Amino acid sequence: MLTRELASAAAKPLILSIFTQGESYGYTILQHIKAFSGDTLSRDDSTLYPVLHRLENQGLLVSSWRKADNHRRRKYYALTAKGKKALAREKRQWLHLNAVLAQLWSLQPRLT
Amino acid sequence: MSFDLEKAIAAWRRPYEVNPAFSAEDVEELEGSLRDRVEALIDKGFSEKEAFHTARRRMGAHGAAETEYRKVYWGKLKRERRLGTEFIWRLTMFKNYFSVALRALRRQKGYAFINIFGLAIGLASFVVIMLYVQDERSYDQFHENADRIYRVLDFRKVDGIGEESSSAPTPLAEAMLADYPDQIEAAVRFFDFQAPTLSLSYEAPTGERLLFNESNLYFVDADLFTVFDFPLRSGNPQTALSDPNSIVLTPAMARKYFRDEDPIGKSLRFEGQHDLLVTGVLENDPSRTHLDFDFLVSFRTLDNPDVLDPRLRNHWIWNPSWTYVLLSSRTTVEQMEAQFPAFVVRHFPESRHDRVKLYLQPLTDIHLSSNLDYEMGPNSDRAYVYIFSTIAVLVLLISGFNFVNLVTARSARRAKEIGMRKVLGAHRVQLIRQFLFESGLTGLAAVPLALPLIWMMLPIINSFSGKNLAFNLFDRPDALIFLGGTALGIGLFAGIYPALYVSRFRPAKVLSGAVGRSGFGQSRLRKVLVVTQFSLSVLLIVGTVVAIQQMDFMQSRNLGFKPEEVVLLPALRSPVSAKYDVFRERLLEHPDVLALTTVEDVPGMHHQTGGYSIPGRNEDMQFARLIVHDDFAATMGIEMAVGRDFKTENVTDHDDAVLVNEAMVRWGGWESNEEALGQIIDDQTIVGVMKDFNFVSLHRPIEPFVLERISENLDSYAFSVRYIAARINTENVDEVLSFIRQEWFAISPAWPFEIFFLNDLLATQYDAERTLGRVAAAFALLALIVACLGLFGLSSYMAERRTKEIGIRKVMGASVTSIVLLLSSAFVGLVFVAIIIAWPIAYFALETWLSAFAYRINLGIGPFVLSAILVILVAYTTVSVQAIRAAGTNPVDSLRCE
Repeated sequence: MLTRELASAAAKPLILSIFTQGESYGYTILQHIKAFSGDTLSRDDSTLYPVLHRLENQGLLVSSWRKADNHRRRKYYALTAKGKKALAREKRQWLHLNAVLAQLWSLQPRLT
Repeated sequence: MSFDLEKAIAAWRRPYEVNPAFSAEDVEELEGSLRDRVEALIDKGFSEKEAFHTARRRMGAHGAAETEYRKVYWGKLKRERRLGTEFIWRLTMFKNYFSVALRALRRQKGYAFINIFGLAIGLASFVVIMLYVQDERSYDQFHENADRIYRVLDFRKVDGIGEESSSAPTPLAEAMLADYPDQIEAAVRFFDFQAPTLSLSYEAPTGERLLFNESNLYFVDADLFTVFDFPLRSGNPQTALSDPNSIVLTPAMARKYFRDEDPIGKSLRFEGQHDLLVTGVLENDPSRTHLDFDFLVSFRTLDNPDVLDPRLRNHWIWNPSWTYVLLSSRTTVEQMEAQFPAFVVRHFPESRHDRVKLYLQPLTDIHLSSNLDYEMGPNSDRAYVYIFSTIAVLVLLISGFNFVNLVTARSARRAKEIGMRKVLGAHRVQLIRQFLFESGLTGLAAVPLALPLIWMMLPIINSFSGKNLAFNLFDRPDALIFLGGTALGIGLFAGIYPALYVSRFRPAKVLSGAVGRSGFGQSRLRKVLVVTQFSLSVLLIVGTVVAIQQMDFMQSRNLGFKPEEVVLLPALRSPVSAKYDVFRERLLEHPDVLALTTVEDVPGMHHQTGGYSIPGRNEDMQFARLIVHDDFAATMGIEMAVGRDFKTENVTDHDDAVLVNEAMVRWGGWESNEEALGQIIDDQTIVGVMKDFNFVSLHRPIEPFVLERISENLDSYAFSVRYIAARINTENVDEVLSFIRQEWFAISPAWPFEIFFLNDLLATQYDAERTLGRVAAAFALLALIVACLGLFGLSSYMAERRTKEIGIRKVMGASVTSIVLLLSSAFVGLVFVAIIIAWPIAYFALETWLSAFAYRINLGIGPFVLSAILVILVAYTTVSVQAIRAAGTNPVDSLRCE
C-alpha cells in the first residue's frame, strides 16, 4: 500500500492516463485502475468521482452526459487539450523522478 | 423477507439526495456507478442482495464522500459565485431546526418550563449579586486621583489598649502641608465636632421656618474639589469653599430646604446663630463613596471663635478631623510613613510621644476593610463581598448543572424519534446539530425570563443593603452579552452529551424499544449533581439559622445595662446643655422620668479614650473612657458593685473622682472591688466600681473602663455633653416623650428636638450581620427551589421510565403508599449523602464566622437537625408528587402502551 500522500499525488497522473485511450465513464475508469495497479491504487467510487470533478474544474477534463442502454444516463469524461499537456508534464516529472531514484538505488530504469 | 433491489437502492440514495453537497447530477452519477457494479456482480453469479451489499461497500461511506464532494463543491461554488445559494440553504435548514425544536419543546412543555425557569433563576441571582459586588468594589474609585489619596490614621495604643482612630488632630493637616511641601500636594479635612447632629435652619421669604438636626454636615477644606471628584451642578468649585461661612448642598438637601427654588445666594443658619451662604449645589448625591455627606461648610468658618473655641481648633490631643492627603506621584507610602515618627515628636505633646503612631490608609481600601474607631460611617467588609461572590457562582453553577441534568435525562426518551429520523434519511451530523440547536435554544430562552426576575429581585436587595442598584440593559450591553453567552453555553454544553450519545443509535435497535431502558437515569454524574444541590441547600439553611440565632443572642443578651429604657437626646452645643441643671430638675419632676445624666458618646456603641496611670504599673496607658454627669449608673441601669455614683454636691467629684468597672479592678491587680476603692489613678480617686457592662458592641470583649465626671464649667459642657440620657418608665411612652419635648422647647425654642431609644441605636451596630442573615435566607430559599426543580424533573423522568413496572406492581396488589416509598427511596439516599457532606463544611465555616464575635453562641445541634429535616421533607414531598401521580395511573394504560 502506498502512503496517503503518495497515493494522493499519483492520482492525477494515473487518472489522466486512463483517458489516453479515449473517453470513459465512472465504472470503467475504476475497473481500469484496478486492472493496472491491482489493489494498491484503487479507490472507493465516492472518492474517485470528486477527483474527476476537480480535474474538470481545472479544465483538464470535459464531461458530457450520454444516453446509455435502458434509459440510464452516463457521464462520460475525456481529456481536453489542456489536459493532454498536463498529462505530458506529469509524465515528464514522474519519469525524471524515477530515473533519479533508480540511480540512487542502482536499479535499472524501466522505460514504459 | 424478499430483497427489493430498487427499494434498497432508493434507501441508499436518499441521504445523498438531501445532502446539498451532492448535486442531482452527482447523485445520478453515483447511482449509475452503483448499478453498474451490481450488474457486474450479478453477472458473476452473486444474488441481488449480495451484489447490492458488496457494491455498496465498494462505493464507500457517505461521510467520506461528503467530505470529498464538499471540497470540490466549495471550489465550484466560489468559481460560479453561488455562495449566495448556499447561505440561503443554510438559512432554510436553520429555520427547519427551529421549528423542530419548538415542536419538541411544546410537546414537553412542563419539563421545558422547569428547565428554563431553573436556569433563569440562576442567571438572575448571579447578575443581581454581581451588581451588588461590583458596586461594593467600586467605592471611591471614581476620583481621578484615587490612587494617590490617603487617609491619615492616628493609632494610640499602649500594651495593646487604646484607640485606632480614623481621624486625626485638626492642626495636623496644616502641619503636614508645611512640613512636606514637595510630597503632599493637598490635604482635606472633614470635621463635625464629633457631634451626632448639628442644627441647621432656613427661614423662607414666606415666613415658613425649616429646622432640622442634620447628621451629615461637615466642615471641609476648600481643596476638597481639587483632591476629590465631586462635580458641582451650580457654583464654582474653585471658590465655593474658599471663603468662611460658605456652604455647599447636595441635590437632596437643596430639595429638602428650598424645594424648586435656586439655593445659590440664599443663607442657612447654623446652630441658630451663624449664617452660611449657599455657594454651590453638587451634581449628584454622593454615592459609591464612604464619604456620606449632605452639607459641606467651608473650613475657614471654624476660624470664628464663636463657632469653635481656638483651643480646640489647634488641639493636638483631640483627634476629630478625618484628614485626607494627596501624595505627589513621586512619593511612596513607605517614604511618608518613615517620616511620621519624627513628625509626632515635633508636633504632639510629650505625653503622647510614646503612643501615637501615624499611618496612611489608601482611600480605596476604606469602604471594604476599614473598621477603626471614630469612622465617619459604618463601612462594609471585604469578607462579605467574597461570601456573596461565592454564593453567586454557586447558585449559577447549580442551576446550570440542573439544566444539563434535565436535558440529558429527557433526551433518552426521544430514542424512538431519533430512530425514525434516521430511517427517513437524517444523517448523524444533522441529528447532532438538531440536538445542539434545541438545547441551545432552551438555554437562550432562559434569558428573557431572567430579565424580569432581575428587575423583581433588585428592589429586595436594595432594601437589604441600602443601596440603589439599577440594571439598565442599554447601559450594560456587557451584561446582556454575558447572559446570552452563558445561557447559550450552558445550553450547548447540556446538549453535547445526549447529541453524541443518542445520535449513534441504530434505527432498528431503537425502534424495537431496546434502547432507552439503559442506565441513563442512574448515571453517576446525575447523582453527584443532586447531592451537590442539596448540600448547598443544607449549608445555606444552617447558615441562616445560625446567623439568626447569633443576632438574636446579641440583641437579647444582657449587656449589663438596660438600653430599652434609656432615651438619648442629642444636645451638643445646645442651650439645653448649657442649662442642664434646670432641665434636669424640670424633667425629674415627672414621675415617669427616673434618672438623668449626660454622656459624651453613645454608651454601648462608642467611647473616647484617656490616658491614666495605674499605681503599681508605671506606664501611663490609654483606656476607654466616657465623661458623664451624675447618676450614670442609675440612668443606664448598671449595678454598682461597691462604692457610689457621682454627686454634684461632692465638689471633689467634679475633677478628682472616677468610676471604674470590674475589668479595671482586675487589670489594676487589686484583690477585690473593695480594695480598689480609694485607689488613685492619674491623680483621681476611685469612688465606685461598676459591674462590667458591654460599653461597645459584642464584637469586642469587655476591657477596663473609666468614667470621669464632667467639670463644672461651660467649656466642658459645650464639649462633652453630646447627649442627655434619661431613664424612663416605658409604660406611657408617648406621654413621657411629649413631656420631655415640651420641656426642651421651653428652654431652647429655636433648637431642633430629637430623641432616640438607646437600644434602637445599638441595634444598628449589627447591620452588616443582619444583612448577611437576610441575604443568606433569601439564597437558601432560592437554592432549595432550584434543587427542588431539579429533583422534580428527575423524579418525574424516573417515574415515567418505570410506568410499566408500577403497573405490574399494582396489578400484583401493591398499595399506592408502597409504590410511593419505592420510588422515593432512590432519592432519599442521595439526600442523606448530601446532608452528611454539608454538615462538616457548615460547622467549620460557621465556627470561623462566629469567632469574629467576642460574645457568641455555641453551635448547637439544632440548626443542623433542622436543616436535615427541612431538606428531607422537601425532597420527599417533591418526589412523592411524581410518585403518587405515577402510582395513580391505571395499570391497564401503562401496560398497554408498548
